[in-house]
Amino acid sequence: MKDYVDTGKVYLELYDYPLMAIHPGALVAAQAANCAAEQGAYREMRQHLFDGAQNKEWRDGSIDDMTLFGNYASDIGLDRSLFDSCVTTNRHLSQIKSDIAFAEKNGVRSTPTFIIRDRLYAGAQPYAVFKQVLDTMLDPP
Amino acid sequence: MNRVSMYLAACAIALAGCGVAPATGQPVDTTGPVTLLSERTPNPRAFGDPKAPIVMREFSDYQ
Repeated sequence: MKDYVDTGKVYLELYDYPLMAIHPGALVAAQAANCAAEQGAYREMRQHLFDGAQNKEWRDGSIDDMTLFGNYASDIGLDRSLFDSCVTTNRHLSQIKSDIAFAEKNGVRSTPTFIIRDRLYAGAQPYAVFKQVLDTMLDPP
Repeated sequence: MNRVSMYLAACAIALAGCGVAPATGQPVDTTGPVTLLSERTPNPRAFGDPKAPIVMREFSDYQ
C-alpha cells in the first residue's frame, strides 16, 4: 500500500464478499466493518476483524460475536450506540449485496481475490507477485 | 441495546444470509443494483488517488 497506493500509482477498492456457507460470521463482520466506516474507522475495524478471526475470537456471527464487534468498536473509540444501531438494523446489507453481485459478475468465487485492471488473481499473493504485476502494468516491456 | 433486540437482529441477519448463501459457498442473491465503490460518495473503503493509472480491487470476507 505504501509503495503503490500512497504514491498515486494504484487506487485500491476493498469489497465485501462474505462466503456465508463456509464462513457464517462473515456477513455480520462485513456489516461491522461498514458500520465502523460510518465513523471513519474502516481500516481499524477491518484489522480487528481479521485479527479476531485469526485468533478464533469470533466464528459464526452469534450474539456473542456481535457483542465482541461492539467491543472492538469501543476499543477503537467509536460511538458504541451508533455502531450497535447500525449493525442490528442491517444498515449496510444492501451495499454488501451489491458488492457480492459485483464480485460474481466479475468471476470472483473465493477470498481473497484481487482484480487488477481486468486480471483476476485468486488467493493470497506474496508481495513479490503484486510488485511484478503492478510494475509490469506501470512500465510495460 | 438489550440482548433481545440483538437476538432479533442476529436472526434477521442470519435469515438474510440464508437467502444468499447456496450450498457451494458462493452467495447468489444478485438482484440488487451493482454500484462500484468509485461511484459511491463518500467512499471510506477506497484508498489512493481515483485517477491512479491502476485500479486494484480486493474481495475479502474476514474469515
